[in-house]
Parts: sequence; structure tokens; C-alpha cells
Amino acid sequence: MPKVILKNLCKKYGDVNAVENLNLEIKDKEFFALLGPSGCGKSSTLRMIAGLEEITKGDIYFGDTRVTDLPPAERNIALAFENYALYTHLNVYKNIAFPLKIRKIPSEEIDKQVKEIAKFMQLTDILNNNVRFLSGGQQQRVGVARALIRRPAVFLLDEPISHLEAKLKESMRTELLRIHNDLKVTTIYVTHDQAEAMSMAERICIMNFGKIQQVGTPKECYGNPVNEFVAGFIGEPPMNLLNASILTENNFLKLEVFSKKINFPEKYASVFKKNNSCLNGKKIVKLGIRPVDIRCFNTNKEDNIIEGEVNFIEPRSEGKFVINVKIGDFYLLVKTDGTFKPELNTKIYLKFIEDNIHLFDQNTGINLNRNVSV
Amino acid sequence: MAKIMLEEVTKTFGENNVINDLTFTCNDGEFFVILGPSGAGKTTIMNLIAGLEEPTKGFIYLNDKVINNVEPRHRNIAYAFENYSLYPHLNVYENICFSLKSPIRKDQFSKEEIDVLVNEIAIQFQIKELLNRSITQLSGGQRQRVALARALIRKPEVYLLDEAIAHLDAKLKHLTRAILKGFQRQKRITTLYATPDQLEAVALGDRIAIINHGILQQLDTPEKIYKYPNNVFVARLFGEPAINTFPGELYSKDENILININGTPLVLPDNAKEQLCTKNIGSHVIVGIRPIDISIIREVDINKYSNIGIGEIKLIEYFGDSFIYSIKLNGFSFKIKSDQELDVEINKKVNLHFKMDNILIFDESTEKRIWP
Repeated sequence: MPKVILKNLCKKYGDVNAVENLNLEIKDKEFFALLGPSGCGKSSTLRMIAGLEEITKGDIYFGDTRVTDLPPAERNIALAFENYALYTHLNVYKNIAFPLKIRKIPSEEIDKQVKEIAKFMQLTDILNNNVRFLSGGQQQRVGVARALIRRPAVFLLDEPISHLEAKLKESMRTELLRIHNDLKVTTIYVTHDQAEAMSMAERICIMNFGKIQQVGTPKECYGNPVNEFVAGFIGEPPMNLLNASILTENNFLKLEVFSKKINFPEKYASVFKKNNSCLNGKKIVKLGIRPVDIRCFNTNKEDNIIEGEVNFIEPRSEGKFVINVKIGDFYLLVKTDGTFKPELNTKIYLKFIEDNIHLFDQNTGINLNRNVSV
Repeated sequence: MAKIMLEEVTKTFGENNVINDLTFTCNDGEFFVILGPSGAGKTTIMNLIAGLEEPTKGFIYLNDKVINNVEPRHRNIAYAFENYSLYPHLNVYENICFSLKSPIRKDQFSKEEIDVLVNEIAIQFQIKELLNRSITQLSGGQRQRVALARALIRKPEVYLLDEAIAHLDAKLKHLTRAILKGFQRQKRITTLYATPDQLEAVALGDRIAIINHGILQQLDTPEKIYKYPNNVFVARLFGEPAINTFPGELYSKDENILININGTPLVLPDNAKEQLCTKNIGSHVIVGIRPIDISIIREVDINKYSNIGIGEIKLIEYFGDSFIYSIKLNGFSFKIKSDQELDVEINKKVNLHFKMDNILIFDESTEKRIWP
């Protein structure tokens, strides 16, 4: 199985740059996700890898082989879409057998392989059913079985489960992971759903406006987002992004948030010690803090407290709450661990966990820790 | 004042009973959520209340008066759909104020009053800067907020909102839920809200009616439904990941009632004895246990716990602030959820502790809850 290499890949539709100078290396046997909002270029990228979309500029390699000019059929890839595209006049068996049949493989061999993959995908009992009468989850499994029966070198999935219901999505997610763990086929998975990418992929490439924002493991992207876009895109509930200023008080760095001074996060201190010139007076920055990284109190007893009002409480199952806190004109999301019981329209006292504060450049959105080693 | 009541309502399309003998009451001022998977009949219920469909059997009441034969426009109901149905030839402003200018409300509002109302609701839904834009220039999320504003600008007796925030991204969804709930609390207008999303239902609903195949499964507050689901379907709908369900067998030993899950015995809490009478003993049941109620414990702590099993880790899913572990035990697959990353490896054995306080037991054939 090869790795997949994209070199300076560009795609233009008229004057629009759908994909701009993309450089990526997807490892052999890796489960790799392309993640981003609609229109970010993830599907165009996948379609170029599949050979369904002409490449404006750049190259694609599978291992050492340049496949840029190869037609889809010669790339040894399998593609599964969101809308299955099953043959509705055929039964499950014939749908799965189709790719082998058009290759003129002997029918005994086809039979063996169909039964093998059907067993693996838990479709054995419904092989003779017409695909029209299957549930969404079953149709999806048939689509995946049909794609995998060819033993492709690279498996491409384009939003395969985005429109399934929550419960079905949950079980399909586990199923796709199980398939990958067992078959170990290099898999490229396109999705706009950050939870899907986070929970399934070994590495994620986050895209926006045709450009790579960050490539990393789910933990890296969540814990150390390179910019404001990645920070806001990954995590549910989404990260709070608010205006803050950095200033010095008695030679100590401080953060000012909602006109309150709080401790400056230690992990960013080195950035400013090295580069003191940027701190003449105040420096305005974007502060990012995840809803789970805020502690709540009923009283104002602690240091570094920010005060707000409980505007809305979303109960989550498991006794947790997502609290919408109004601070001036700003709405801040806080996720509690269940021990704190909020009350509507009452004062709430918040403390940001210092180590989990992220700071971004106000103009470029780049994480301020990018100046130092990450 | 608006109370909506459905009494033994059935709606048939061809041979399909889309709604089956449905009875419920939505109280005045209530935020009433209708939750169910696609195809459950949620939209049909909304259409019946709006008057866009007629019931095949049964009665619909508005404040104790049958409204089966009342024309939609005389029902004083505002309706917002998932697919917006905005007027593409009008701009955002004109779309929002459209209902205020309709012939049946002619001269009710002056131009200045309309302007105040449009601006007020546009600020609330954060679309003020879009007021002069054409609908065709808007994103899906923006259209959805315009559709909401258009429906909510009137003060009817009832709001019907059908998957009204389905197309918003995560950030806007949170904000819009808060705005919507705040708005409803302030105006106290009876609101029926249909959604397939349990998170949304729990976040918004004073009470939730769970529908499947056109049949009411349960109607209660979110807390009650989570704790005491009527059946397996309802139990699985609430909570993420879904509750684990296993086939099991009830038996008694040393004055205790136990469940045997394919060889792993679990002791039920003492208070189960009173409720699970002798006729349940020996019977096959479905056991439900939530992913947060199973924990992985260290070998050294094993003597501190009862209700232990040995499983094998199959998959680990990471979600930023939580982890979900897929585990195999005695041939059954199930999931555990933890806020912390556990020191485990795929395909390795682990000791599991089952917290029995929140365990649910269902009848094997009817799938109805028999305990607690």
C-alpha cells in the first residue's frame, strides 16, 4: 500500500482558486481526514486524488508513481460517496459484485469475494434483498462493501455519513473505524463534521478557502490550534473567542478581559519576554478559551474572577450543563462537570483555567505561540 | 392564552398510518418539543396543527375548541420550516415584515411600527446588517435566521417551528437556541418545536414528546425521560453515545437479584427487590446501562469493587473533552465514556466496574421498562 503525496496542488474554477498550492503527505495505511466548512476545497482535493477532477497545477503521487495524468480506473482507488449511488434495480449481492463483474473475473471467484466482504460488513442475511428497501445504514454498508471488494490501494470517502441520523452515524463511525483497523487500507476521509474527523482520523488536515490551516493529530489540533479559525472550528461546544489586551502591571504581564485583570498564561510569557518591544502600553489580542476550560462559582471568593449573568442553561444528559453567560454584550459558553448547578438570571463567577488559554494575533489570527517552538 | 390539544388523531396517506391515535396536550406558554427520527411523523403533526393537513380521524383543539375545519389563515399560528420558503424576489427586510402587511392584517401596523418591529427582531437574531440584501445572496444559516425572524415577528397564539435551526453551524446553533429560548420565555407564546436532535430537544423543551412511527412513545420533562425512559427506543434516543443494551437473565441468589450478562453476574440495588417480583425472576430481559456508568479500574483496586467484568478494548475515539472506548465483553460490544484519557491499549484486557444505581431493565418482548 502506498503513501499519497500531493505536491503544489492547485484547482481553479474560472477565476476562483478552489485549492491553492496544497502540499500533503498521507502515510501508508493512515486514516486521514480532510476537514473544513463547505467550499473550503476538501471535496475538490479528494476528487483530484480520485482522478474525477482535472488538476490545474501540481502533482499527485501514489508511492513513487506519478498518477497526475492517469485516468481514475488506473489509479486503484475506491470511492464511496454520501449518496451511495447504488444500482436500485439490482439486489445487494449484484451491487457488491458489480466492480468485479465488469472486470470479467470468474463467477466462482466473485462469489467467494462477495460472501467474504458481506460477512465482514454484516450483510450476509440481506444479500438477496433489493437495495431500495434497505435502511440508510444498510445502504451505506452496501456502498462501502462495493467500494472495498476491489481491494483498492487507497480508499476515498466523501462525507459518507454526514446526513445519517445521530444514532446511525454513531454506529457507522465505529464500523468504518473497525474496517480500517482490520483492512489497513490508506483512507482519505472528507467531512465538514469536526467530531467525525476528531474521533476517527489519525491525522486531520483542516482547510479553509482552499488553503491548509493545520495538519496534525486530533489532539494537536484541539490542544494547540495554529490559528483562530482552527480554534473555533474544532470542539463542541465551540471555543469562546473574545477580545483581550496584554499589559504590564508592576513589571508583571497581565491579561485584561471584560475590563478585569487576570493572570497571564505562563506558556505565553516567553513570547513576550523575548520580544518586549511589542508591549508599549496595551496589545490587543484574541483570547480563546474552551467551554470546558472555565470553572464556575456562586461567590466571588477566588482571584482572577470574571463576573457574568446566567442567560440560558442547556441541560446535557449525564447531569452536565452548557451555560450561556452574558457579560456585557458578549455571550460566553461554559460547560460544567455537573457538580455546579446554575440558576437562570443569577450572577455567576468564572475562572479561566490559565494553562488552557489560547492567544491569537488580532489581525492575522495566528496563535501567538507560533513564534516560539510548538 | 393558547392550549393545543390533539385527541386520538390519526392521519393516513394512502395505506400508511403516518400518525396513529395520537393524544397530547401542549399547555399555554409551554415550549413543547416533538422529537423523533426522520419519518416519525413530526412534520405531519405540525401540518395538522397549522391546518395544512386534515386529520383522517380525531380532533385538534385550540383552547378547547375544535379547529379541524378552521382555515389555516384563521388559526393565528406562525410557522417556520426547515426549508425556509422565503420569497426570493423580496429582500430580507421585505421578507421579515411580509406577514405584517398581509391583507388580513391590513392597516393593523403603521409603516413606522413595522420598521421598529423589523429592526428589533433583526437585532435579536443578528441579521441587522443583512436587511437590505437579496435572499439569493444569503448562506443557508442566514436564510434560516431570516425565516425564523419572519415567523417570530408576529405575536400569534402559537408558534410552530419545524427543524427551524437545522442548518446553522455549531456556533450559531448555540447562540440561536439561547436567543430562541430567551425570546419564548419573554413572550410566553405557546411553541411547538420539531427536531430529530436530542441535544436540541433537551436544551429547549419544557417537555418533550417522543414520536416513532407516528406513535407517542413518551411525553415528559427531559430529566424524567433520561432517568425513566418508557422503552428501549426512548432510552437509546437520549444520551450520546447511546445507552448500551444487552440481553440478560434475571435470577436470585442469597437474597439478591442479579442479572446474568452472558456469564458476568451483576447485583441489582436493594430497592429492586420490591419492584421486581418473583414473576420476573428467571426471565430474559434487556439491560440498559449508560456509557458513563461503566468505568475501567486498575488491577490493584479490583477488591474495592463489586460488579466487575473483564472486557477487551476494541476502539478508542477522541472528542477533545472526552473519550469513548468500544469494549467487547462476553461477545457483546458496548461503549464507555470518560472525561479522562485512560491508560489502556487496543486489544488489551481491562477490568470493568458496572455502576448499578442507574441501570435500566426492559422486558425482552415488549421492550418496555420494568425497572426502575
